[in-house]
Amino acid sequence: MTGAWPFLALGLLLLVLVIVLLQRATPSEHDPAELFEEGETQAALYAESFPQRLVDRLFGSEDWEFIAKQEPARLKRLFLQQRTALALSWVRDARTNATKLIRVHSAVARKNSRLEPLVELRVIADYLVFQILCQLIASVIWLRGPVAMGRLVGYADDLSERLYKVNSRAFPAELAYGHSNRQPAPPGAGRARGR
Amino acid sequence: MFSLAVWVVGLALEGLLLVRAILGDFFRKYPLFYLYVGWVFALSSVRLIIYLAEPAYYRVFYWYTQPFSVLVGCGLVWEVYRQALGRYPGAARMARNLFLFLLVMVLSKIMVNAWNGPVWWQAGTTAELERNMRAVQGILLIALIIVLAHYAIPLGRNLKGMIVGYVLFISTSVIDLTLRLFLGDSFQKSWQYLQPVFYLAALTVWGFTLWSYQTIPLPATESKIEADYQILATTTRKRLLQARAYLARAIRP
Repeated sequence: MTGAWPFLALGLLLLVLVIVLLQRATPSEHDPAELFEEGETQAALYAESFPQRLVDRLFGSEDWEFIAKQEPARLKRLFLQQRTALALSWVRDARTNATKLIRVHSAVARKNSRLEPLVELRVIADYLVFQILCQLIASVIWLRGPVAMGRLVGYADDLSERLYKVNSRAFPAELAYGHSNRQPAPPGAGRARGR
Repeated sequence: MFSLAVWVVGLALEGLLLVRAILGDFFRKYPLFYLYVGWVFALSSVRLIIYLAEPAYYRVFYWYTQPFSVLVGCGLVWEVYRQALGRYPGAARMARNLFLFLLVMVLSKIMVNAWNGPVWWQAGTTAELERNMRAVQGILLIALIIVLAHYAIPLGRNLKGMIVGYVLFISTSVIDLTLRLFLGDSFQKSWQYLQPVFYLAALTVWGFTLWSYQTIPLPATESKIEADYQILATTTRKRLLQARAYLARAIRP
């Protein structure tokens, strides 16, 4: 029966795909490429709809440290709920912008006879990686909240920094990072960068 | 009695589809699709005559002629590709490359089978051969649907109906034939009913969606961008990487 599974899976996948195709919204009368020409989409794509200061604060621990000192537990719960909702909306926004970008790209690429399938696959792979990353971030935010998310990333960063140090002490740089000629950036380098 | 009734209804629906296409003068718009319907109509009629006059020959005749139906069915996939992607050379190029890749994979598998054993197609029976051929069609249809969905290609009622009907038929055929091969005679009776019923469902979808001709919708305005593909792809990738960096920058404490 093991030989039957790939065929059964193929049949089911086809059925699922056709349902997806049926549910797909009819393309609007306006070509997404038209928006691209008007420059509106371009502006939307470049926009980081949440101001950087707000994002820093959203994932930072300053506000939480203040609220944690306050007495009513309800206040803390409310704070975490609102922060989670805001952080999730930030992730959703980032995903929407990426989807807009890929839609504009495919609307222009579909008419381009010089399309290169391998390059196109790379673009799609980049987009999928971005979507997976967003899903991952959203899941952690949903489970632990944005403040814990920041702490988790900080912890992972510290851990990789320590590993980097151990690694670079134990081996010469060439061995620790293959025979690459490039100088690898230490994991904590991102923090040194100005925001 | 039930299967005979389904058979006759199927023939009537096929005939109706052909008559509508001739009367509405859109027979020539989808020649490969109507070639397929015409072929199935003719073959089913001959099979019915044999079934009623010489039932002993029916089984042999069915399995000898069935692979030809599968081959003519490939024309239907080609019709969808041709009609849907005709105005979109970039998406068509992507689909062609995907098809080529998949066909090379299938041919490689056939060659490996031929090398390892006496049966080149790894099919001991005609039913297995049909299942494998339908599976290849299914794989090509999956690639085509992914391209159509990714590039948001407008399809229109006729093409959408063609795809939905054929996918319904192919997917249920692959599942049916697989179960029949693995469960054997215990599934034979169900298979005799299920296969024609699913085909009837496909014909019903075609009947509704191809009752009249509908042109494939076009975007209200054609894009004036004649962007160099390399620049376009580089810009998109760069922006996606920027977006990724933005995410990382935000969550890093």
